[in-house]
Formats: sequence, structure tokens, C-alpha cells
Amino acid sequence: MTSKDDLINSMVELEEEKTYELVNALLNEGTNARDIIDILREAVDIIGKKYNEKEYFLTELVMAGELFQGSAEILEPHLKEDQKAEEPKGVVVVGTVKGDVHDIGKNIFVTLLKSAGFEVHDLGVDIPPEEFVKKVKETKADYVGYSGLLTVALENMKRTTELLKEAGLRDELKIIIGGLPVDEMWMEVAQADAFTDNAFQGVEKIKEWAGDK
Amino acid sequence: MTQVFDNVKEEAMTSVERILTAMELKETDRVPVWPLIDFLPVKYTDITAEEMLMDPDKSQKAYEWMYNKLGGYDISMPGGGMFMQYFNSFPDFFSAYYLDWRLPGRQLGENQGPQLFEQAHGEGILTVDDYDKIIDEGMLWLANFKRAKMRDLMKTPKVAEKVALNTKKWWEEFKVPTFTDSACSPPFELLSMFRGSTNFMKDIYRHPEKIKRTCDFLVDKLIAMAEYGPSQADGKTILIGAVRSSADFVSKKHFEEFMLPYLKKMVKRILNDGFIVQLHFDTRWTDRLDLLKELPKGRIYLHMDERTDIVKAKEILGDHMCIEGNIKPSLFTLGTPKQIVKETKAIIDACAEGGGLMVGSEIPDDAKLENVKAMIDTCKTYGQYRK
Repeated sequence: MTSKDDLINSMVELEEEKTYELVNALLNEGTNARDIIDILREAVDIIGKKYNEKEYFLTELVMAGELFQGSAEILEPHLKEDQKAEEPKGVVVVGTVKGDVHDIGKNIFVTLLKSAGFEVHDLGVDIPPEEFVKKVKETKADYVGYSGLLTVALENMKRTTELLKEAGLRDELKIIIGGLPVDEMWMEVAQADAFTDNAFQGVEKIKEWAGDK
Repeated sequence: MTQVFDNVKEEAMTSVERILTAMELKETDRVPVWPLIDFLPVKYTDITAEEMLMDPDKSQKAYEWMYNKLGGYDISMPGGGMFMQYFNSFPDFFSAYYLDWRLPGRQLGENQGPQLFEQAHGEGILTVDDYDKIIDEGMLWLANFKRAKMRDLMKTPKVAEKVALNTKKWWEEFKVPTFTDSACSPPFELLSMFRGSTNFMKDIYRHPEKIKRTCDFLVDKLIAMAEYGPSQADGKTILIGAVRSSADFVSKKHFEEFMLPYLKKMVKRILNDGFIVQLHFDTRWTDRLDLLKELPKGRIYLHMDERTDIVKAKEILGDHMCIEGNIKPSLFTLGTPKQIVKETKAIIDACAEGGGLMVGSEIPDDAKLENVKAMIDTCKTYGQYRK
């Protein structure tokens, strides 16, 4: 019998082929696909902790996202119809704001959010404020993430928040900004609720917000 | 020295003397200061970002204007320097012939600074199979004349000639060293750019042997390409840039495996060939500083941004190489002169003793001049070694 711990260990050690073998083995042995996803999420959490403790780095987070996605593809056909409609933990709209095209951190943030069970709408890069507002309205988003590396992008973060206010959407939303240089100063200018220079901690913040709801 | 700039006061040492002495890890008259200014003149003069990039005469004038306006500092960009960076015909991380750099007046507005559009490649401009192709055919087949034009290539020798003259003017007439005369990418960094960072991170796990073989193949060629320009035009400084091999991105194990041996080789050869090495290491290096002690000593300075702890750098590398940094760039846009003075003094207090320190930062295109001036003036007054 394949044990839950085997899968967790293999995922945490980022052993790609072995992880997929174990996912298949668990399925064949009759483990519910949804339960396997939960096991994988547990492994992603451990990887995140290792990242926070500087034992793992961005490379390992990327691989973790890749293994999660690969496993989810194996599991997809096995999820029963009723299980597919898992209620997302929240809806997040994410994008790199206009004037900026940096997206390494944003992409990792998106992968981790998805693996944590959120519905994510990734707008891409160089996104004008109006497009954020449109997407928030359309998806009834709970959270918005602005990504940016350049100070020239900060003005557009601020503008986006102002447009969200004008559209009457701001009060229902939590806004997080992300990027290597962002700090409290950026957060104030952008009128956001949180900031992070770390994709994993950004996801933790959103999980925390989701728990509060 | 004749008075070339009306706003620049003569000091006990020239900037050239100061920078060279700092690299010898000796105390100078005062702490050297380097605001890394590239497109800042666009905000304060009539010049456009497009002209800063394309016109070596106009950009030289703009850099001279800025130098005078700020009362002088210790390293400047030569006019036309950015053309040579972005239209480098050799594969390099700034070259628009290879990477999808969006440039002012082309894909961007005439006053926007260049930006690298990496995600648009999806799979990256290199595929996994191309690692072997590089070894078989080199890298020049990757050049894309749709991104940078053939006419840019035709223009290169003319601009290069002007850059050489401008460089000479800074060093010999103004006695101010120039930023860099060429850039050299360690193979790891270059491959990450060409593959796309996310793809490359997966390759580290999936195809480590391919990466190592390609790094082995590339390293000597990349050194030769970096030295080609400066050796023709009396250039003095070669920049070795690293971001994606830092402790923000990869583990110590991966750094030691894929980066350090090649970095050592590059630094050693470039120093031996008589050039100054600027290690331009952005993002977080604090936990890797001990490994940089393995690099040879010489005319070398380590640029770091605010993510690396400069006090730790002084402790670990103080008797090994000159360190430079590390005021946070966005503070020059969002902060006040008072905050900049405080930061500058803190760096001087912790790291100036015994020499081997330059204070500096990359200056954002929208920085406030009074903030840049606050850093410079603090180094000139508070940063005096001998009153």
C-alpha cells in the first residue's frame, strides 16, 4: 500500500517522476482523487515553510507548482462531477500594472494561489487600471493583487485603487501589492491593504484574509 | 585641473584617483559616491529617452548636464553607452538582438525606459533542445533583426567610436571613471534570460547535465565577446551581472554547481587581462557573500542593492573586495532628502572605516534630484576620511 507520507515526502523532495507514480498508485488503490489533492496541498505547505526558512528558494517553489499541476492533470478525470464543483476559497484578480512587464514573482504567486484552492484570474502584464476594474466587476473578486517592480508603475497602482473606489468596489475588496521593492511606502501610495516581496507570504496573507471572512 | 564644470568643486583627490584607491581597499579623501544614472536626464531636460538611447552626442551632453547639476560624483555613464548595451551584437542580457527588450521610441513611448518582455516568449526563445544546438552551432543564430534592426547594426561602429571618445573625455579630461565599457554574462544568467526564468528553473531539476555542458561550452566565448569591444576602444571596465543566481532564486548547492566555477573563471581572466571588474549583483546575496571570497583579489567592486546586507558584506568581504551600495532605489523617488541622508550616514558609519566602500544606488528614471543630491553631498561632507 502506498502511504500518504510517501507522496508528501516525494513531493517535498521534488522528485517529479516518483510523485506522479505515487499519485497513480494511490488512485489505483482506491484513494479518492480529492483526498490526494489535499495531500498534495499539505506537501506544498511544507515546501512553503522550507522556502520561508531559506532551505528552499524560488526554483523549488516553481518546481512545486509544476508537480502540483502535473498531479492535478492526472487526477482531473477521476474527480467525480460533484467533486469538481469544489467551492473556491476566494476569487483573486492578479496582474502586473501598466508601465511594467515584470512577472516572475506574479506567476509563482498565481501558481501557488491556484494550488491553495483559489480561483485566479491572471490578467498578465502591462495592465491598465480600467482592465483591473472590469475584471473585478465581472468575476466579483474578493482580492486583487497588483504586481510591479518599477516606481513608474506605482502611479498606476494608485490609479487602479482610485478607479476601484469610484466604481464602488473598493470596500468589498482586499488589495495586496507584490514585487521585490515594495514596502510600506509603496502600500500607502497604492492605498493597498498589504504588501509582500515574497510570493509564498503573499499567498499566506490571502489565506489569512479568506479565513477571516 | 581646469574648471570644466562651474558647479563642481575641486577636491583633494580626483574621482579617478578616488575610485582606483577604493578598489585597493585604502581610505580616500572621502567616501566615493556613485548614483547609477541612465535615463534620469529625460525628466529634467529636453532630451527624450529615445535620444538618450540612440544619440551619443545628445546623451553625452545630458550626462554632463546632470553631473554638473548635482555638483559632481565619482562614476558616470558615457554618452552612447546605452546604445552599446541595448544594441550589442553579441548575445548578452541587455541585447535587443536576442531578447525582447521593448525600447523607447519603438515598442514604447519616446520617454519610457527600456523593459525586458520575458513572458511573451512562452516557451522562451531557447527550447530544451537548443542547449545541444548551442554547442553545435554557437548562439549567433538566435539574433533577431526584427527586434533590433539591421540599420542599428550598421550604426554600431559609428556610435562605438563616439562612445570611445566620450569615455576618454570622462576619464582623462573630467577625471571621472565611466560606468562600464562592456558587459559579461555568466552562462547561468544568460541561459536563464534566454530560456525564460521559470523554464530555466525547471531545467535545473530536469536537465542539469545539459545546463552544465552548455555552461562549459559558453564560458570562454562569453569572456572573449565581453573583452572584444573594450580591447578595441581602450575601455577599462567590464561588468559581470548576476540576479537569477542569487539567494532569492537558487540554493547554495545550485549556485556552487552552476554559477561559481564559471564566475571564478570570468573574474580571474578579465582581471588578468587588465580590466576593472564591476560585479553588478542585484537582489539578495547576503547568504552567498562567503562564497564570493573565493574570487581573486584585484581591481574589482561589488555593486549590491538593498536586498543584500551591506554591513555583512563589509564584515565578510571588507579585506577582499571593494563594496558598493546599497540605498534602496525607490527611496529616491518616494523618499525625502532627510531619509536619504540618514541612510547614507548609516552606511558610512558601518562600512567606511579602512576604505573599500562606495556609496551608491541605481537611480530610478523618476527620482527627485534633491534626493540624489542628498546622497552625494552626504558622502562629500559626512564621508570625509581626513578633515
